[in-house]
Parts: sequence; C-alpha cells; structure tokens
Amino acid sequence: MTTPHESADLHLNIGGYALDALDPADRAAFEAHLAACPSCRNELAGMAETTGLLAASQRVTPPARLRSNVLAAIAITPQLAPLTSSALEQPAIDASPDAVPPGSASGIAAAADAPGSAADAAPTTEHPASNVIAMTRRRAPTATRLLAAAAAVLALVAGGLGWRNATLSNNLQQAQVTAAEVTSVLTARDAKTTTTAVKGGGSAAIVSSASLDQAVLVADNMAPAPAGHVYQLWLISASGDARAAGFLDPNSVGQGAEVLAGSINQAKTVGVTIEPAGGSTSPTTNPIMAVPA
Amino acid sequence: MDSRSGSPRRHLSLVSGVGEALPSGSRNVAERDTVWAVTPADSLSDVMLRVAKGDEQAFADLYDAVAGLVHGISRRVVRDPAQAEEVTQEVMLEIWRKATRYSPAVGSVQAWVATIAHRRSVDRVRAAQAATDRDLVAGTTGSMAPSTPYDEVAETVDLHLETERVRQSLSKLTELQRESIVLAYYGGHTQSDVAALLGVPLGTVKTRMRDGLIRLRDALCVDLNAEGVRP
Repeated sequence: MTTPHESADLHLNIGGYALDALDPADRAAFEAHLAACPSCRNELAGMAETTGLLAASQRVTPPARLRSNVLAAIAITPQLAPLTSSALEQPAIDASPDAVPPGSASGIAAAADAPGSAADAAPTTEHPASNVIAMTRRRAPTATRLLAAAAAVLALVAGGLGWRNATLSNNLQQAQVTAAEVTSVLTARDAKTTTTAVKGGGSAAIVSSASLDQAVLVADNMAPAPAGHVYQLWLISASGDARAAGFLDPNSVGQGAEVLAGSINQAKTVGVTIEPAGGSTSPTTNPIMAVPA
Repeated sequence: MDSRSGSPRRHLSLVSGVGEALPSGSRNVAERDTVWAVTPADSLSDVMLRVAKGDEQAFADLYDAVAGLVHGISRRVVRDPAQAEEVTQEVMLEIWRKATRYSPAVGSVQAWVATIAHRRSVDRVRAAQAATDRDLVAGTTGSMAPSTPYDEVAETVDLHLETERVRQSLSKLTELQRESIVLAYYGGHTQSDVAALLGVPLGTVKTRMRDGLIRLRDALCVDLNAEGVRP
C-alpha cells in the first residue's frame, strides 16, 4: 500500500475528493496536492460540474419558511471580502480567547474579518506568527508535557483502542492513517509548536509543519465539551474565512491529538469553538482558544 | 461494458489546460469543455455578480433557483428532515457570505453551490455518525447500511429533466462505478466505508470513483449535445 503522501496515490484520490468521500487527513493531503497540481484542478472542475448535476437531479423544494428565515438572516449577515482586493492585509489576530468582541455571533470570523492591518499576510512571510504581537504562547515550558501527551496519543493510536469505533477495518485503517499523520507532523524537521491555555480548563498545542502543510492539535487536560456539544476546529484564512477543520474527538480531550483537515499554510489562525453536536458551517460561539497558524 | 474511460486520448484531453492546443483527436472533447460553460445554471453567474455586491433581491432570485438543489442534496445525504433543513439554511447563508469569492472562471454557479451543499451535508452526517458510533459496539454494521439506491429516490424529488438524464447516465456505468459513486455522493460515505460496504479493496474504489465520474461527465456532456443545448 502506498503512503498518502505519494503523488500518484494523491492523484487517485481525486474521485473521492470530488465526492467528498475522503476522511479529513486524506482531504487535507489532497487539497495540499491540488494547490500545486494544475492538471488535478482542471480535472476536478469537470468532476464538480458532474457532481453538480448529480445534486441537481435530486431537487426537493424546501419548506417556505426556510426562504423567509434565510432572507431575514442575510439582511444582517455581512459578506466576506473578495479575495482579489487588498483585503490580504489583515489585522493581527489576538490569540487571547478573551479578546474576541463579546456578543459577536461568530468570534473567530468577526475577529478575522475586522478591518485594519498590522500583520502582513504575504505568502512569502515564513512565520507570520512572529509578526503578531498580542499573542499568548508558551513554548519551552510545556515541551516536556507536550511530548508526553504526544507519546500517549501515539500509544493509543497504535493500539487502535477506542480511537474511532467505526467498522473494525475502517477503525484500524483510520488509526493507522491518523497515527502516520500525527507522527509525521510531530516529527517534521520544521515542526513549530504553539501552546495556549484553553478557556474552560487545560491547554492545547498546535504543532504545524509548513513543509507538510499540516497541523496537529494536541489536547492536554481539556474539559469535556458541554453535553450535546462538540469541540470544532477551524482554520481561519488571512481574509477571515473560517474553514471547518474537523472535531476534537471527545475521547481525546483529556489527552489526545487531532490532525486538522485543511492547509495550515493557507491559514492565519487556528481556533477551536464549542458547537452544537454535528458541528456548524461557521463558528457560532466565541473561541475557547485561538493561536496564530 | 466498456471500462476504458482512462484511455490515453481521453486522459490527455482531461489534463490539458484550457485554451491549450489539443491534438486533433481531442477536438470533440474540447467542444465538450465549451459545453460545460453553457449548462443552464450558468445563466446564474450574472445573478451571482449582483449577489456579490450585496443585492438582496438578487439573492432572493438565487435562492429560488438553487434552494431546491441544496435541499435535495441535504435531504438525500442527511436524511433527517429537521437536520436537513438546518443544513439547507446554513448552506444558503454560506452562499450569501461567500458570493464574493465565486468566480465564473472556475465553474458554474450550480457546481459551486452543489459543492458547498454536499460538503456541509457530509460534514453534518459524519459528525453525527461519529457521535453514534461511540455509543455502538464496534463492528455493528446496522448504521452502515447502504442508502436508498439511486433509482428509488423519494417521491418528494421534483421531477426534472436532469433527473432522467442523470439516471440514464448512471445506468451506463459499470455496477461497481455506479455503486461507488452513489454510496459516496448520495449516501455520504467515505471511500473507506464504500470499500467495506462493497467488499472490495480501497484502491479499487478509488479507481472506480474516478473513472466513473469521468464517464459520467462524458455521458452527460453527450446528452447535452444531443439536446441541442449547444449550437
């Protein structure tokens, strides 16, 4: 079996990607590949038109009240800034969870959408995080704890115990993929660790590798999410677009790790919010943690 | 059935950039590429331009044009009616927020909308699945039952020209191609789940999904031509 990082294997995942049939790690790997592969982008465009027709063949008229709900909602919902404008100049994201404007419907998005500019988000900046001043992070003091947590995670994953109770084969496969992803990020030569306290208790570290274009969230002693809620992970771009990057498995809050689905290099901020079970399409609560990507 | 959809000529045409000189044998495929930009949904790109400028009336028009598609896919994938309604509303709001990011150069409005709708539906169903799985004994397969076959769609589906065209195109695929695509797209399953459900290696499913989508694309293009959508 080939590793997920081999190009041929990545290219073969194009069908699964077009059908949204990849697990988060494979999805992230393929998106990284896509960014550098014009032929895949070209092929994907045709597949997207095809799946668009698969969707169009299943039209079901929604209840009329949805229309009034949505039209009422858009009247008070701001639109994202276009990508082509000078909106690439973005404000510094204060990583302190308490810095988000209270009452904001969407803390992360609001913070990232705010006008103004302090940090240059140009892709040539190797470590955009270093430009951000208002940032609470600790590196060395928690390194040992982090490594211990990571080791525990790897042991858990390697044992395949309680990681994801899907079908047995899927479980094993997922565990192997996850373990490989986590290991590759944690051991990457350019791995960069940012640790932060988590609102509600415990701490978390984001370990990211620019060369792998991936990041892992390592949770340490976090409290379980409130009943009926989940910890949802977000990758927020320089332009303020919060992209869902998966969930922190409830079994992992005490000590565990999750690979963030999506490109870390395209993200400016990594955040976690508490969302209703099932997750949300964009953050609906203030983040319990947010750190520069 | 012909399963050589990855034949060299076709593959070459698929990896050729737009506007790039194509070998003479690929001329018909180049025309098809043009056809894709002429799908009926493309008339929505003007509406999208207005929506991107914050035009709420234009968004109402867009809603009327695509809400059925969005709700159809969320109903199909999420299944639970109340949750599907939530997803549909979330997707329509996301379309409003991201209208500024839509580019006609990348694809039709229909494809863009469907991509968002399907991704959100799948995210919802997998998050729910993960929650359910934790309460189930590992190995229980009841929750993994395949979705309704494509030709047994709920009666609530609006009868539509596209419905029949897609049904016919799906019937031209090999069984494995069709099942892989239907389980993934309409069932919301991952390719690993599809492999387990069909009892075939993961690599086989990956290949069938890709080849099947390419054949489906070509079949739907041919049908567009047959209907005279393109002069």
